[in-house]
Amino acid sequence: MKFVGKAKLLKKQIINEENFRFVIKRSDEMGCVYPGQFFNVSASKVGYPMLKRPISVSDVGEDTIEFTIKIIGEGTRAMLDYNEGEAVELMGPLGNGFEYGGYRKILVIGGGIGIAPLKGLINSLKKTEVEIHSVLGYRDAPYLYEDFAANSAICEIVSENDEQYNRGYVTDPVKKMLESEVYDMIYVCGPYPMLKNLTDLFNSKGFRAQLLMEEKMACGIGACLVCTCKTKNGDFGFKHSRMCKDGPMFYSDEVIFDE
Amino acid sequence: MNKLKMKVDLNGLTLNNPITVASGTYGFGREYSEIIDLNQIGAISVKGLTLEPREGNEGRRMVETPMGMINSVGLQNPGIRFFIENEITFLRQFDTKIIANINGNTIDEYCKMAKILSDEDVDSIELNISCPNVKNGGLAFGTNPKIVREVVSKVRKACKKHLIVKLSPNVTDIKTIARITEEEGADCISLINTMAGMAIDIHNRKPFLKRVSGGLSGPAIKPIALKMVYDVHSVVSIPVLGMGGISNTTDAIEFILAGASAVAIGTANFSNPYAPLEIKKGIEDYMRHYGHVDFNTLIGDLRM
Repeated sequence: MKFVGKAKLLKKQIINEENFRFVIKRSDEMGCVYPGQFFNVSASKVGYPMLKRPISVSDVGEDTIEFTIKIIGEGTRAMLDYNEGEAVELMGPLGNGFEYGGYRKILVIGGGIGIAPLKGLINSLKKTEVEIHSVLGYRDAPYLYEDFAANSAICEIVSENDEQYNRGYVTDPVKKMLESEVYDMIYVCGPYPMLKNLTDLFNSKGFRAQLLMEEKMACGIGACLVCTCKTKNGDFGFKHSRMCKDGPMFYSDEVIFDE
Repeated sequence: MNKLKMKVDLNGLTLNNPITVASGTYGFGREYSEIIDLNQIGAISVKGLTLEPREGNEGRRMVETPMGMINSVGLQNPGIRFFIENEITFLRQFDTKIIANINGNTIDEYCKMAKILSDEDVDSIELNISCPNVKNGGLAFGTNPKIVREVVSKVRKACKKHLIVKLSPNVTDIKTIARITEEEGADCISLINTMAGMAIDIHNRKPFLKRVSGGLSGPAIKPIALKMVYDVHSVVSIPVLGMGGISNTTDAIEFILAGASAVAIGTANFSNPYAPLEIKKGIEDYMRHYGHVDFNTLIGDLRM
């Protein structure tokens, strides 16, 4: 089920200089919304920028949907002009989210704004028996880590610049954890180089992870073919899968990383 | 309320209404069929087909620009055989016309495809000689009047179906190209395809698109498209299927007054999947408001 229309912005919250949060009224027409799925959200009330922005769901409530949005350009900046109580045009839920049934011990790895969709994942798992280990990486001061800290047996935080935390990248603690722990599934969301480096690591150790990826999108439903993820197999030895429709979750052993 | 006559004849292809969707923006209709009622659309021009399957261009394929977007998909498609075996039956569920958009590397390939599709259940063949995103063919055919004459003439002979020729705006004299197209036997002209465009990331100093440039679409190109439709309509007597940045009713009616017998909605589908239906209703409202019962009386009705 895909909802196309307007939904009320219940809450707009500034998280820090770069990130903000939208809590949107969830309608029945949206059906089930799974962690890792996204909505195509209108960037502005006036129709400029023209294309909707694909925004991952960062949490789902009884009758709400939460988006955590990083300001990366004109569109996401324009979204800040929405006021609480106003209607936001959106379409969704879209794409294939995480697969998470039946695992007993999982590792969740997030980098920067990539932590947002993982928050939805751990919050939908927190009432289950699953043991969650989290590794969160930031450039500067951490944010969005509270739910991970509260629901993980182990929660490692690293930062490139914040001296209060272990300095470095998520790959450092992940390497150590993979040596001493066995996970039923690994979930990753973050910038492209992080996904690539971790995938190299998983491939070398024979692990398989679910990667939540991103790309600039237009239609958001798989018709226009402007967003692709290069994957294995296919007629040409590779395939241009559709990021929006076939993804944005791909298994690490499916994806071909360039450069 | 008077019943409006929305049917329009594109010189052998009769549409239930003048709203179509543009090739490359709609796949084979599957995805949009989950959102809107495809029975309400006059015709669907399917994703550009090639003789063999293509994976399309590598790297980033799209950059948004002011009121537009530049794409560099590079004709990713499953090939004409797959289309025939898997997509035609699906589209036939709907009361809409199927336009098969074809792209060749050589004139021979265009002819082969036209010949193959002539025996299949499609309503029209759209000869795309204007794709800016592939190395061979496409745009290279559509910008040279001599080659336009050769390709249209040969495909006309190979094609037993209604034949639309889709023109490129990346030319100095669209009227000459349009006249040649008509002389060589096209049943209808569609225009415009995307305009060649480019955008640069000033921080890494690289073009956003791996192939440097791509095809610009969206409201940014609408005034240019409108002028070209007007120009072409003034020199040919075959019908014109107008497109280029049409996003709302006003845009569509402008094209119709300028001479388009039908319009195609493309990029607007991305930001508003309901655009074709809203525009259809908008045209009906406009007709009622100005006392038109037959849509055909609106075509080219520009007061000078």
